[in-house]
Amino acid sequence: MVTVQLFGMTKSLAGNQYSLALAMVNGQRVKDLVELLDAGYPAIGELIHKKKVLVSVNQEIAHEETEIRDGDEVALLPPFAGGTSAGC
Amino acid sequence: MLKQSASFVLASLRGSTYRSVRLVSSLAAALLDGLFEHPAGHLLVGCGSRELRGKKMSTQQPAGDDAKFVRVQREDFSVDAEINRVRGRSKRIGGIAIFLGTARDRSKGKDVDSITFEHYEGMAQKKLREIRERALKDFDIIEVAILHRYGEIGIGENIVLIVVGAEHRAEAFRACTWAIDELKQITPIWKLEHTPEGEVWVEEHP
Repeated sequence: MVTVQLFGMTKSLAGNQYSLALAMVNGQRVKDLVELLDAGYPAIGELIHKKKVLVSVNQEIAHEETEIRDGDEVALLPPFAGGTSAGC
Repeated sequence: MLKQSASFVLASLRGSTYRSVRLVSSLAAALLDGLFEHPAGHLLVGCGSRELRGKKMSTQQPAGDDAKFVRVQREDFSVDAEINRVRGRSKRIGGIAIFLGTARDRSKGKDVDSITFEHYEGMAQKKLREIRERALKDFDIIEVAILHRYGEIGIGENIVLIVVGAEHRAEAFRACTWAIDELKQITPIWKLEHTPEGEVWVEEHP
């Protein structure tokens, strides 16, 4: 089981939850997590596929082959407030 | 285009709205901190390489420096106090550039009543520390402070502050521009705008 922290709009898309508990076993990868999200929270899964939402593991941006181990800190990161350099 | 209200204040050592007594106490605190934080730096007396040596040590600075010069906090900050904290680092500083981002009442043509900032505790601080360390390494500057607020912020209030101290202005400007651009690219902070029509997570960035 892995707990996925949610931020910004991903909380709304998950029915106003702050985190999700997903059934994963030690050593599965980010792509496995995305499959679970596709099944349970397709709106979030779609944003990950579009690369609008990033997955972080232990506070670093992960890619689909990144392994997730017991105790790892996993989060879904929607686009940051700053956006482009033309933002401010 | 997303436009966040901002004031670009350059080397703004005047124009304070804060009481001078507060400024003096912050300056004193900054000087005291300087005495205790960098014993190695203070041993290099009368030597032109003092700041350069300090820079080389930047990636190994004690956690105390990060806590003072990189902060994510709910409460407002004093621009004067932060300028003085940077200024107190070295008498070799001859130019200070700052960027102050403030909350604007319009976004994409719509009214905004207030903004709530959410951050990823831990990762946000980590990214800001990385930005500080890279700025100290890649630019010819002496110190940089990076602060960002979270929670609900009223229109016109402070959101984010970058203060860069350098020997000369050109590098201070360059590092300041780079730091705020980088902050906006890599720091996990999100913005919820409260508008008359409801709440909107800012997510699109043309």
